[in-house]
Amino acid sequence: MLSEHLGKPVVDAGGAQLGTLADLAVRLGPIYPPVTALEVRMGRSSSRRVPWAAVASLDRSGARLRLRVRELPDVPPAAGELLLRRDVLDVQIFDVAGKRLTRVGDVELVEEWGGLRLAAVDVGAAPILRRLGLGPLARRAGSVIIDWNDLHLASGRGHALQLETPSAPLHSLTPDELAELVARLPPARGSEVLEAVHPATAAEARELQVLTPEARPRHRYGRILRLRRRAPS
Amino acid sequence: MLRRSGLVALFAVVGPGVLAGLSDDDAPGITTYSILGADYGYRLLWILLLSTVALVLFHELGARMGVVTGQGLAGLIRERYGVRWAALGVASLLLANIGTTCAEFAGVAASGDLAGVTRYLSVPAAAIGVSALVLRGTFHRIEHVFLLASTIFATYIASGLIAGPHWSQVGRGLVVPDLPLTRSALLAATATVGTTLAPWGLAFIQSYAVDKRLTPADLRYERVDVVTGAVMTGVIGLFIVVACAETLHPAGISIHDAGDAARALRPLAGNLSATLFGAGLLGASLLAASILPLSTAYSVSEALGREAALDDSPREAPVFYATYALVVVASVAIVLVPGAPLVPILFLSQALNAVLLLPLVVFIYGISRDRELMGEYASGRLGSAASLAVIGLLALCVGALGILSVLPLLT
Repeated sequence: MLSEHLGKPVVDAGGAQLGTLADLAVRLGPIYPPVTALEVRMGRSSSRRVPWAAVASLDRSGARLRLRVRELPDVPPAAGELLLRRDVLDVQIFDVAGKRLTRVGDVELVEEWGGLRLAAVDVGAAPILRRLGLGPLARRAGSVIIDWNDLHLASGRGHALQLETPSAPLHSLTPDELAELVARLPPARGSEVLEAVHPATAAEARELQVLTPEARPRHRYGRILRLRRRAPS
Repeated sequence: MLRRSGLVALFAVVGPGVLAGLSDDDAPGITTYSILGADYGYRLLWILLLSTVALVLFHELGARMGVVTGQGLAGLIRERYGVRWAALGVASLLLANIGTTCAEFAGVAASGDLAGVTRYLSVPAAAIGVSALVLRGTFHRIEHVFLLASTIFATYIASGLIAGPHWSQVGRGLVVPDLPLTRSALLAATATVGTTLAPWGLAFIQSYAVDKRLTPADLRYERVDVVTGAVMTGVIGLFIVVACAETLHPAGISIHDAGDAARALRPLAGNLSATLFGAGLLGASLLAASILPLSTAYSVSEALGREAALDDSPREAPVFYATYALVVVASVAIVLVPGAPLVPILFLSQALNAVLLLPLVVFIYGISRDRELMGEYASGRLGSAASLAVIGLLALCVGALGILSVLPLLT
């Protein structure tokens, strides 16, 4: 789980503490995204990036590096990277299977093929309680796991990056799933999604949106206050 | 002059700002402005002016944040600051909203008093009635009745004018920042800020802008909406102060119950003033009491990542309905404590609002500047400086009130 690693010490091969773990970078691609780098916070405003290849181990007690501080290479942030804390944790997502908007409580990381991969997110109550320091309550609360391939990040950078990834889940959505997604996203984001997917699917989704009441956005105050909604343009 | 298409677009967008602004003139708002005028005349009028400027500033930010991100306030705080800070934000909203809902039911009780109805009848009846209408989704049918009733407070404008305001004093009060350094004056100033720029209004305007599915292209018109709503609040507030400053202040009358406050309408309504005031108070209280618990329930569900709506059953959205019930039951229970003083509830809840407003405006300031979230609509230097000035003044106000409240305990 991502939240168990954040803020933990990062120690180099000589045992010297480099700083604390601030974030993990992953690279989007055809399979579960692999972790490519650590963001290490060193003091109040400075931070440095450590490539995953230089990491010997990462567990609840923190990260241990294979190299000494002075041997670490300088790596610039890559273009198609997602930062898990900034772009995924606590961010709004669209759960394609459950057809709902929800929020990421924690990110599940799995060790596979010699690396660490982003496998799923937990949107249940348990991670929230755990992160608030209410461990005992968290054990009784539920986890709700959503596979990485079943979700679309609804917010800012993650949304844009996922749109650019040809293998991202939204490119395999059926027209009615797409209609549901577009209805729930802010209008500007919704049209970006429609532009990114196959024109035929997008056209069908647009039609469905007009036809089916389920594909309409859910209003908070719509049932009690008369909303004069703008006609879909 | 707007072109026709511009006018059509304007009417499609108008709503969130005017509604949020109008419902700021609710029962605790009327009471706070009345106390301001009755106890201090025109001296603290500049606080109302500054609060109205702050209202324009932060409601515009709220609407913009909603339009650009498509998310409500509580959800955005969690996205930007994480679970722990979101817990602080939601706790502030929850407490402030319970306080204000309590004040709305106190408003119902007070207008019941004017009509000779005991609060043990009026308050439960109002709570059950409003909840039934809201939860069954039939509220919109009578929404305009409440709105109409709360526009009764526009009669303060007439009452104030008939009372013959001393305009030079009004002008002086608006621009000369004069504040007696006493605990009660600071309390009145803090409550004025807290009732004008209410925490729930911030959450409400943002969600409502999301609901209307406004796009960044509508922001121009949304600004007109926000400014209209805020100016209406400010002008009505101003005339409440004027009416009270001309009728109650010279006579040395402080407001202890709704009957005292109603006297400010005498120049206009004569012996009907109590009836008019009572009807307005009831309408405004019921309108706000129906939106407040709902707004709170949305904020809590949203921060937890549960997208709940009135279409869901209690089984599907337990957090949503539990929060709704908590807000209503806690508020009603406080008002029904035997001998609970109504005017202090109406007034002090608004000072509490101002205290709990602090973390929220700091979050809003941070989010509005964040280019990752707001893109090209992020606040620039000027906007940020203005919000920072509001935060500074609010902190000063709350801090000074805190010090003056603690000092007597130490000496």
